[in-house]
Amino acid sequence: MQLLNLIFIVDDDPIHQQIANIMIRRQGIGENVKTFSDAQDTLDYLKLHQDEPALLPDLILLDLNMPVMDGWEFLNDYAGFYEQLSKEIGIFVLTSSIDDKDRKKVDNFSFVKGYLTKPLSSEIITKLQQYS
Amino acid sequence: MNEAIIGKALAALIPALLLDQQGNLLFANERAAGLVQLDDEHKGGEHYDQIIGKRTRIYWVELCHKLQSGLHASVEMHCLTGEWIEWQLSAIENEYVLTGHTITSRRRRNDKQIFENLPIGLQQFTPDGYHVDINQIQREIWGDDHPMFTEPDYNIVEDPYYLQAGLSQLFRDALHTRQPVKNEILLRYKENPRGDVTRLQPYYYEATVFPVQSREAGVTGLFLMLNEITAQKLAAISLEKSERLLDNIVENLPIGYMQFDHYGFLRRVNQTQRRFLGLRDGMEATAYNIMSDPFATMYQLDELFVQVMEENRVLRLEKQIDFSLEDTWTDQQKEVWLDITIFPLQDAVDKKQIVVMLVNDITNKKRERRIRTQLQRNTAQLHLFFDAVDMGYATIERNGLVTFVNSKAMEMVGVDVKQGSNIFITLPEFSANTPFAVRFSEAMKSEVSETFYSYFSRMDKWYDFMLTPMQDGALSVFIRDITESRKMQKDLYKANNQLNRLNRNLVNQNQQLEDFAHITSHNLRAPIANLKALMQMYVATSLPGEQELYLGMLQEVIHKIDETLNDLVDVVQIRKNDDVEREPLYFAERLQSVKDVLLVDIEVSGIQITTSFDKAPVLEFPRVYLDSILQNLITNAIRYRTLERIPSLHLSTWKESGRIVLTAEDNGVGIDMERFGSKLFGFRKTFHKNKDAKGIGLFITKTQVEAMGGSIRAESTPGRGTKFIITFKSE
Repeated sequence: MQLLNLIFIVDDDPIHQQIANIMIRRQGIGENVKTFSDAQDTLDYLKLHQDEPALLPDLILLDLNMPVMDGWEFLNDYAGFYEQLSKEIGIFVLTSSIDDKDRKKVDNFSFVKGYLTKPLSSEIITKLQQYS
Repeated sequence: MNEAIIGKALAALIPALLLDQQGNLLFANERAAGLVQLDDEHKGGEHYDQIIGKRTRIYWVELCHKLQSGLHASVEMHCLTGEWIEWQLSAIENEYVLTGHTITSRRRRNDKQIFENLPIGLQQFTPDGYHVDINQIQREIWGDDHPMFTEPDYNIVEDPYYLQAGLSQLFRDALHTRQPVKNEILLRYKENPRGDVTRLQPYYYEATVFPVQSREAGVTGLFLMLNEITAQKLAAISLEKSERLLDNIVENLPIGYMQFDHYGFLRRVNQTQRRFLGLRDGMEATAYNIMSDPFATMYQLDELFVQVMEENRVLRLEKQIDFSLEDTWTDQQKEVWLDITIFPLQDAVDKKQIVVMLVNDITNKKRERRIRTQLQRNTAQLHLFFDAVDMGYATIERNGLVTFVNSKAMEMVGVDVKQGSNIFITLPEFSANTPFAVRFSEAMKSEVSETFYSYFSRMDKWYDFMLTPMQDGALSVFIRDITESRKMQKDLYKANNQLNRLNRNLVNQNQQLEDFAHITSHNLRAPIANLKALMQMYVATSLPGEQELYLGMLQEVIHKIDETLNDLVDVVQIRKNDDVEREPLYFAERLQSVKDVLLVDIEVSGIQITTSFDKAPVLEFPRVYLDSILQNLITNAIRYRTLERIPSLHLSTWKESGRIVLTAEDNGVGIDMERFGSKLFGFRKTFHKNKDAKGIGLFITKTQVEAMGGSIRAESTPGRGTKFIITFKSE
């Protein structure tokens, strides 16, 4: 099994950031984990490095409920430029929302690979592993 | 001698016949033999009846009887010589003597007289057609200037006019057949001037031509007898004419005409009836008999026919006949109503006994009559109906004349309104310039219904009027008592308002409930998920360092949950306390109190707070809530100030539609309303990276305002500042 080179965690909750970081490392599915508290910062990073595949993540775990820019705005913006990225990125929504409306809304974005609900568990990590 | 001479002379002069007692001729002298035309051989043995009786129609027995009775026994005879002789019978011993006296001149005189005095015209012609003699009447017929009297060579048989008129033919026929012949001849025209117009009057004659003949010479003459028959002829023509006219009239009668003989066979059908029945070709030629036709029998027309014949009188009846049941001789396919008149009659022309049937299609009339009856019944029913309904109803003519009014209407206006009375006079409430009179003329003018209600003080009632113009130019008035419904309407309006308020509250509460469900799912699930994950991780590790790290994180999560729960409890408290005590609060006073609490923040930020509470200085509101609202507004203005200018906040109150409005306008960073408007008042919604912001202040403010029946909204321009507008519930 090949290790994922880079995984992004986009979530404003610092505790969640820590938990995800630890779990991913412990399961050993990725070498590097980078966390963002702000979706806007994430977009800025991706756009900046869109032509540098080595710097682009293999996976993004995206929270929906965030201040300033939320997950929905991120997805809308990302839809406009992801085809220009030099690397294919697997995006997973990871949220505490169990609202069915949110789940259906996510289906509109074809590039989102899955809708996962918190807490992040070893089972979910295994799923992500399968993706890699 | 002398006697002998005289006797001889007498014998030569006086014709004499000597006869025996039986009338047989014994001797005839020469003169007598010449007169009775006896041959020499026949001068004896002839009988009187042979030579005289046959010609005079007075026979021997009769003549002898006259003589024996002492009467004058004589007989006048027209001899073939042309002479007239009177034979006088006298008896000498056992023998009889007939002595003849010439009476020719006397007879001629008599004949001429008869000829002249005949009541008809008589004229003698030669067999060739030349005029010989004429009586006065005939002369008048021809006229004195007729060529037959003026031209010696005139021949009637050859006159072209009489050839054409058929008179010449009569002469020829009489000559040829030697028999009398007769015909009607239009002999001449006579001018008949009348005023400026001269009419040619035709003259008709019955012309008889008979021949006169002798044994030897054959036809010796032709007699023409003219008898004027103009009057009869004209009468006949006129009769013929009137028959033709009658025939024509019958043919063109606007009603059906059928004629049957007394056996029931159809003799005649006029064109109206032919057309009505749509008779097939040849129908009239077929022997249709009303007594045996199955269709006629079905409708008892045969019985009718018999009844008319038996009772010999006119029968008239209406009959409904469905011709769609008969298709052998008629194209008429409808069911019709017929007015049938049937009577016996003698045909004017052939004098035969006939039965005439007059048929009139009254289907349309019948239908009209039925409709009219129906209409009358409907009108009666309508009036009955209008008397029964619980609604005033009247019909009024343009000039105000009442043509119908039901009892309910009279009861409603409290006056016994008579039909034919004038509504504008009878009821002062409806007189000129009253709402009723004005609407009445409006409706009449526009021909559109007018509806209005008005108070009828005499009865202390509210009435709803509908004035509907009718096709006949009159107006229908419907009156409804709406006193009760007006009362109910008022109550209903009140109840509706209350309901609306209640509904608004419910919607509000519903919204709040939904918000709350959202809050719990989002804001509680996230930390609890963390809690679950950390517990898993804690259990999974045995390294003391890691365990310690997880415990620390667990404490942090628990603290966050506690915080969230506390905020929620606050909110729940506010929402639950809808009967929290209100008191009159002076904005200025409450603001001062809040400013005291936030003194440090205000001083540090240097914010300038200005007010204008003079338009609405006091508000009835829970004190804690108003303090909290003011505190949040000031805190926000401080937190989101911009360093580009001295921060300021202007608080202002006024009244709008009975509600007090509070605005708080700052000059801070402002908010992108398009992007964040929906999150502004949300629970734990932040849209900036200010670490102090928990996303709870404006949520609490909103909850407090709404709990008291008010509302809050914001207007903002990024970089310019924000204005919060709070509208409190009216007192």
